[in-house]
Amino acid sequence: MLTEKRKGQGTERAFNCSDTRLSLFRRPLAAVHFRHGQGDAQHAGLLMTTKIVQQSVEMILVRQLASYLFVPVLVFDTTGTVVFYNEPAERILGVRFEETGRIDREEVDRLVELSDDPSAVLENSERPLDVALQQRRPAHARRWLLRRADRVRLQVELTVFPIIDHEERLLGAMAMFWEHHGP
Amino acid sequence: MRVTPYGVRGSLAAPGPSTARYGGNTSCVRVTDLDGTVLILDAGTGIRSLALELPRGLSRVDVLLTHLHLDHIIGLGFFAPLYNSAMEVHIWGPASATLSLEARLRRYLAPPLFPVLLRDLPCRLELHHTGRGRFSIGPFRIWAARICHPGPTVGYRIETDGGSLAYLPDHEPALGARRFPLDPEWTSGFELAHDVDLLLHDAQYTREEYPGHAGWGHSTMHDALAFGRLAGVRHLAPFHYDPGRDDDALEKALDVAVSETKPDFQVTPAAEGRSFDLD
Repeated sequence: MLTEKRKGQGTERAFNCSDTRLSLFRRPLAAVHFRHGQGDAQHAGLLMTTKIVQQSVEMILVRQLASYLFVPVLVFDTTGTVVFYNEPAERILGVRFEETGRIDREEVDRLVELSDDPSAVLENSERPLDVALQQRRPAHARRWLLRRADRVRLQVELTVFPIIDHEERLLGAMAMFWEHHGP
Repeated sequence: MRVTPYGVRGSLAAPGPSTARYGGNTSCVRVTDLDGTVLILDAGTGIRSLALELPRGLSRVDVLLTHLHLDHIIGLGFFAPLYNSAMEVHIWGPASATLSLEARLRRYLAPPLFPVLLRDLPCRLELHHTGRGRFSIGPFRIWAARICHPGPTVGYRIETDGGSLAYLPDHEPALGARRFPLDPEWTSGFELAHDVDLLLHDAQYTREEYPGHAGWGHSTMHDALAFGRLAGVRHLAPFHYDPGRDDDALEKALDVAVSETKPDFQVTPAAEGRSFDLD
């Protein structure tokens, strides 16, 4: 068991994401300040004691796979914390994994917002990540609007599925974003 | 704790004069403690001669399998305690998503691969699934966890009050990594090997050989050394040598890896019959 103490470093950045109507995540969004350090993402100025344990081999392999894929991929643990995202996802989030490390739910909400496209009918109103983690089912949401912090809009389809090991233990979830370029 | 390899080759037994210094048997290691408790790690071809050296009067033996590839179980059918009705034999190993450990072992211990059925063995046999988790056998505190190798595979960390051993004979922690090693959180096997007195670790390939074998579940010697450094081990015993590499070539390749990586811990190539005392 490895215990690490890490202190925040780096340049503070702010994102304003206050007008979200529909979120991938349950918690409401707010304008916040978010510090990017050289290690894990953490709240500005706080000394955090983070207990780092080794990820399971299944999660390690998911990360390795994601790092080779063209599509943006976010890998979540069972609490909904983003524990890895690949380079294509860096473009969507607007930050580099090397800079942020893991990102918890609130911080993801501060980086991006997801809203439904008024012209489309949603497949269901459930949040895909919650479906994957709480119901252990895959979920797919179409025509969701992903808005980055710099106000760039992307139309995406989102697929989230749970990661379950041989012993039926839920390890996390994997979210893939498919950019939608059609009308 | 005394750790004695009886088989250090990977994949296929490679007996003969050119492999006599390190031995030609496939993976098998005996671990004993002062109270006489015996653990056997994997059941490669080395387990036959290991059984000949078990103490008289021993009534129980535990065999811990890392996985069920043939080089790690082929010796089971020739393990004398299985044919002794006075012996209590416990076999620990991983089940798969759809098959129990017993069902998986039956695939080998049954015709046409073997004439004796698992259920007909006269010993008192108990099978235990080891996925991930901790358990104890006598004085040994054991931690099993899945590690990176094709198919259900575990590594073991074994501790006593006197020392600690990590056994990861088939392990490819560098699989898919754009650079290796990554940080501990994202390195297969790290927790098992962290800060142990002795690590027995896969060292099947050279760096030059690896690209043609990526995904086969094994490490280069360089990666074994890098993994040992990341985990902070005190002593590394490279293990699971490629069967096509004779002793001279093995020593030369290990020399290159050690001189290039400059480990800050002791490195002793595992060899049949060469014991490590951890107390």
